[in-house]
Amino acid sequence: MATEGTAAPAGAPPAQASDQAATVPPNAPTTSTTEPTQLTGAQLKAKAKAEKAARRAKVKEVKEAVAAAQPAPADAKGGKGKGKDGSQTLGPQGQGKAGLAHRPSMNGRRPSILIVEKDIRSSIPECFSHLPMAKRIHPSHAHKDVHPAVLTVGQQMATFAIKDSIARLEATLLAFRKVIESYETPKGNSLSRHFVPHVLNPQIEYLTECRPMCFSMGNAIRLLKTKVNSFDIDTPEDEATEGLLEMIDLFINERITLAEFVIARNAAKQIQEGDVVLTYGSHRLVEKTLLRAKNNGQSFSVSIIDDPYDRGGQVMATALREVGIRVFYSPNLGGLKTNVERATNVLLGAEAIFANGSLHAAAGTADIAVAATAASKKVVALCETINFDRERVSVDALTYNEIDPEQNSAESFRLLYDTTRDHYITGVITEFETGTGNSPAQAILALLRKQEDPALN
Amino acid sequence: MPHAVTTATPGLQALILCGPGSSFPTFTANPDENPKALLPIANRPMVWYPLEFCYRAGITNITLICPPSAAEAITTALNTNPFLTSLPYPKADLLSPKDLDQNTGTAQILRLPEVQALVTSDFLVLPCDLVCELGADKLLQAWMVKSVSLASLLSHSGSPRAPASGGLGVWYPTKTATPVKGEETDFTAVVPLPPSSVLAPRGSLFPHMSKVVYSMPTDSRKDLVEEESGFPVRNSLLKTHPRVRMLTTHRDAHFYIFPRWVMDFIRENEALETIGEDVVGWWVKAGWQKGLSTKLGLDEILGHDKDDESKEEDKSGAGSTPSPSKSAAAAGQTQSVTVKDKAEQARKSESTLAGPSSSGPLVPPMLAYIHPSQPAPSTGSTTTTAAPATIIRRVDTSQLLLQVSLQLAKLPSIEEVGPEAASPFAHPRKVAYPEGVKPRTTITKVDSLVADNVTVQEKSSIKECVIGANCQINEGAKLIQCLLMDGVVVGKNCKLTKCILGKRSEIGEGCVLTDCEVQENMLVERKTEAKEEKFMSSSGLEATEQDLEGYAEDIGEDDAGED
Repeated sequence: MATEGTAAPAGAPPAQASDQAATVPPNAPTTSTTEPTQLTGAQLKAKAKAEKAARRAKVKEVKEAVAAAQPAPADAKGGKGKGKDGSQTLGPQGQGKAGLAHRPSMNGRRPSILIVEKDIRSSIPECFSHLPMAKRIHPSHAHKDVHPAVLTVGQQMATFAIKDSIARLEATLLAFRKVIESYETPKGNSLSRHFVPHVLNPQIEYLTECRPMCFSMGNAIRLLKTKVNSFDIDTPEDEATEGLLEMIDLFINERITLAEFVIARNAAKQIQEGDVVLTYGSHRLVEKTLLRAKNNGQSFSVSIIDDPYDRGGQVMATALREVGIRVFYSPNLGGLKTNVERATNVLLGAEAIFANGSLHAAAGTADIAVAATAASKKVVALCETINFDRERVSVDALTYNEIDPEQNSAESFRLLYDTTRDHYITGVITEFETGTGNSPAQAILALLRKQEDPALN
Repeated sequence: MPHAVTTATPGLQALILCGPGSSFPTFTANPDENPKALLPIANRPMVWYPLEFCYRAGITNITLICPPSAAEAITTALNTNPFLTSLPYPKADLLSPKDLDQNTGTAQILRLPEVQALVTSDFLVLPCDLVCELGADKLLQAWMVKSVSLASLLSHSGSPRAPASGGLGVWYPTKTATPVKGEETDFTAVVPLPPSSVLAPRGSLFPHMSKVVYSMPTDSRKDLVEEESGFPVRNSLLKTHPRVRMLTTHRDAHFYIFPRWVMDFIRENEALETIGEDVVGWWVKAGWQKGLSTKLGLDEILGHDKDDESKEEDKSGAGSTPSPSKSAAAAGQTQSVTVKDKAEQARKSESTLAGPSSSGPLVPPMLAYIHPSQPAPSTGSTTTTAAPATIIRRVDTSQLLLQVSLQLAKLPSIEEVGPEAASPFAHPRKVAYPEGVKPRTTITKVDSLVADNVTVQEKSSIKECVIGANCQINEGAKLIQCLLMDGVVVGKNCKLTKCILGKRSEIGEGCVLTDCEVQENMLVERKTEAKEEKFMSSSGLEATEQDLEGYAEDIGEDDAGED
């Protein structure tokens, strides 16, 4: 076996010495049993030394056997281990010995290195094994084809510096833009064949390793891949690159920037003078709406209920205070009934909307929606159409969710999202112009179906 | 065979500054033949440590910068030294700008045209004498998340100018379990980062990160206090940052991650001489001192117009006109934009940590990772203080050299604990050439390190030492807490305690030396007894004609030669 062969030289001299010495003591004891007085001090010493060497050789063998039995981790450690062990063993020895970690590297493309996957999830019960959790790999464990911009974006996502789906989507698309800009098709390949499997997929895998993808990222990547596949194999590279860059720019402009503006404008129309707007946590659409309404000259107050584990509401409260909006802040869901009774409107931001109209939003949103509906208040959700997922359906919070990587143990873990059934939502505001203002989610989904199906070819 | 680095590259390039080592009088008396960068720490040349640090982080674009006079020695070492040649590909480049000599300040090095042309992206600056066991990828992660402005990283030609990225530096405590007398410290004032709503990931460095607001070496601070008879603190500093924490016994590790614009900053300001004191010092001051950023030219460099502070805000261009000034009493027609600006500014100053200077554009922050002096208790570990903290040390005096070498010698070898648990600085074996060690010798393996091809004769005792390659320890020698470089011959029955012996030196029989340093190629006569002496040759210290005339003018100037 290669491992033992290559690792053996390190242990060979003592092993050989022990073999040679081992042949001596078997003779010595046999003679010693017959003539015990003939064992001199030197022979005793030789015996002791041989036994020690034999013990050492055995320990080494055990280690080699263990390492040989697990080629995968050693291979996976290749990137890191090679740097460490290779330089260590070669240096002082001065001979061409190869350390344990010198295996033939990479058969084809291997994914980013996962070292501690099992450790993170080991405490979570089997029945929840379908719930993903951010694995947060370090930059040094990423596959070597990952672009530096993508590396940075991935780290920011992994450490939750950018959290909400639109920010992640935008960062991802801009990072992919950099990748495309710096991409050069190798000779004999064409962009449409080479780009996705060899260049784009490692980036996507790395980002997924940092944190599981959100729906909008999945949608956008699917559109990108479709566009790449739509190119002819003969299309010149410049044209193809231009086309991709244009598509990304258009996408960002239309479905993120413009959508944000339109949603904020539409939703701001709904806020009347003297309203008390209730919202949960911090969401960029809600914030933009409120600022917009203030710009329009309305005077209203805002009641923010915050997630106790993730105090994003405080940042939004400060931002709103800067422009002179009166803010009521509640640090958790305590006193929800009172807060809801005081409010006139409820504005909620969403991460995604499923095909059955359910809202996928930060954990705690469902409580607000239920309480508000019970108090007969209008609940309006704000969501861009890129966040609509027409393939998945959810009726509870346990089907699609994500476990908080910082708060999980064998006894309990925290989930990041929850699902609000559609009968608790009065209306959804998206970037589609609607005359009346509120449209139930189903209407929007129907519109999307009509719009996107002919566009996808 | 050395292999190629197989991890992702973070798109940074590294500069390792190999200076002359003026604090090492014994061993770098000849900085051209024996540059400080090649002095051995735990039997590896000093420059191996920063190089290995970069490779561990996945950085492959590494350049060593040294004066042209030392270039030959370093090139030879890079090609022949077994440690340096076993570093992974791609190999580090060596740059010797022609205007660089032994006295150039570190910022002046970065101002040289060759170096300016070399640096094209965000870059790391490392000194050649940094021993840092902490994973560079953690520092990179901290920089990527806390300092880098994503908008500037991802901006392209069509997008508006985004706020620039900040920098990152590392400070380590000098009052550790093994303090070294006379170690330089830096005086730094830091403020905590704005609390983020998200818990920092386990094992990340974020809990130890702060923002630097004042930085100055202790010597300069002492001079300042003497001049002003007191330590003056500007009011604007306290107004901007009411909670300031001042560190007096930490030291700047001189490891910096700088964004690209710092090169322009250095180029524009000729007065900056050193990175640690001047570049970082003035940069962080510009964050809170009004008007300083304009004086330093940061406005143009960072692409800010004085009148426009909300550049990256409205990409859709919907109704955003540059706001004339920040005061809300601006013209009524811009009132709508002002509301957004103020909210943006509030958001920005929360999330981007940039100095909220009311009179100028936001200066990106310089962040500091303050290395904790006690290791953080890891979950589930039963040993509390038994595990030593990761080593971050700058090795620029001989005492530090000895200390750090001995500290590294205590690391268990790879043979003992296996490749995963071993520190990146562990050697494969504590005694590399056990056949050279004759019987009836004592070598305390747990805290000694013996390199290749060392012959140790009988009846000698080696306790807590680091012995370089090709040394000969003769009979009856007793070495305690010594550092021997390559090729040293220790005579019979010597007793050496806390000594540092340079390359190819020879100690005669029966010497008793304590706390001594012996320069390379020196011979110490037999039966010498010495305490706290430095054995140096006086060649190179001979006075030239000019010096003699100069001395004739001065009164009572003693010659500096020692023997």
